[in-house]
Amino acid sequence: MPNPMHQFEIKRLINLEFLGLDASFTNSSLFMVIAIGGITFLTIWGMRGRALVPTRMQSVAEISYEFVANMVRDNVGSAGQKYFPFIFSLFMFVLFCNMLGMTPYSFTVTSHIIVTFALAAIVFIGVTVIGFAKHGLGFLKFFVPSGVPVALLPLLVVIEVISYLTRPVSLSVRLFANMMAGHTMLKVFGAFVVGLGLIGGWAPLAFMVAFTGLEILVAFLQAYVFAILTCIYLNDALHMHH
Amino acid sequence: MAKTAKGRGADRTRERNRKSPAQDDKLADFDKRLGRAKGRRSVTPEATARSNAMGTAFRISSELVVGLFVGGFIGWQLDKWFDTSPVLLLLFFLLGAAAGIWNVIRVALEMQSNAQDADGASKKPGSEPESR
Repeated sequence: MPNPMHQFEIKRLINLEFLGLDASFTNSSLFMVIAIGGITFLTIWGMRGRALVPTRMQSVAEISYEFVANMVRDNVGSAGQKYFPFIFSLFMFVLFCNMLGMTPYSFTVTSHIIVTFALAAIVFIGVTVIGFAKHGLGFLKFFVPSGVPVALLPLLVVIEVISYLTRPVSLSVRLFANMMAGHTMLKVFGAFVVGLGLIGGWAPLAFMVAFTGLEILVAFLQAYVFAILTCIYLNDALHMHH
Repeated sequence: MAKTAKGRGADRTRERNRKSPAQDDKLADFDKRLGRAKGRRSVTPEATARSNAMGTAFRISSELVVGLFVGGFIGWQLDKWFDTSPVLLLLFFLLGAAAGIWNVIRVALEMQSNAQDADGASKKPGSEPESR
């Protein structure tokens, strides 16, 4: 039986060293480049006609733009328009990485926690900086719930701070765990199909077809959840209510 | 945005075509076919609502687990720092659990107020739901 975790192995394609650090171009980097190339192709080449009646490509580019624009408007309000480019890039990057991972023989970038954690850390640090830049030290009031007895305050502030610190972790773990679990599952059932052969292999095969559909839904959903939580955190930092 | 642009475009096309009844027919036929094609589409509002609910479920479940881990991790590191093992680990594990549950409650409250907003908006079309 093939090892189901083998698909997550990082392979160096081009060996590079930068200031004594291993900065090799790996299969992970390759798929990130493909994802960015795909997004650029979709948004720039797809929009080249700027037709009133859009072509299919232009339609996809417009739909994704509007989808994210509505998300930002609904969750952050007009103050969030400034941050739309970032959230759009983030959503498209995660979506493309997830979807590219669904093609056979490809590598799923988002199935590595270091990648998702780096994305979440950018969001977390960025949002915290925005909060302090906008409200100064008043942003610390974010950790003090209003209308509670003073005796309980120390406890609640600690809980609030922990709850704030869970944000980058839950953001990254959710995406990584979903992608890794899904792909491991697919591999395990793929091995069942081969192992059981022509006689018994049909049942896991049928399951796999359904599960692939679910995985595509999850790939989209996780990109959506990642983007919408970024919007919610940004809204908290800008407007400071819970 | 594109909706209004498309609407305007359609209006203009209709105006231009007013003089030729043959083309008007064609347009009406196109509308009919478009309506039929839209009816065939399987993306129903329920399907969208269901995938939204799934997103929320993922969110809540991970929130609960991650609270424990982060609390435990902070306690473990502080213990190493102050050499008080395992007092702070236990304390922060519990605080982490509290933070996780509090996060879940917050998501639930948010969902509730969203649902109420949607209810109020559908009853009173004049009142616009304020962006949070």
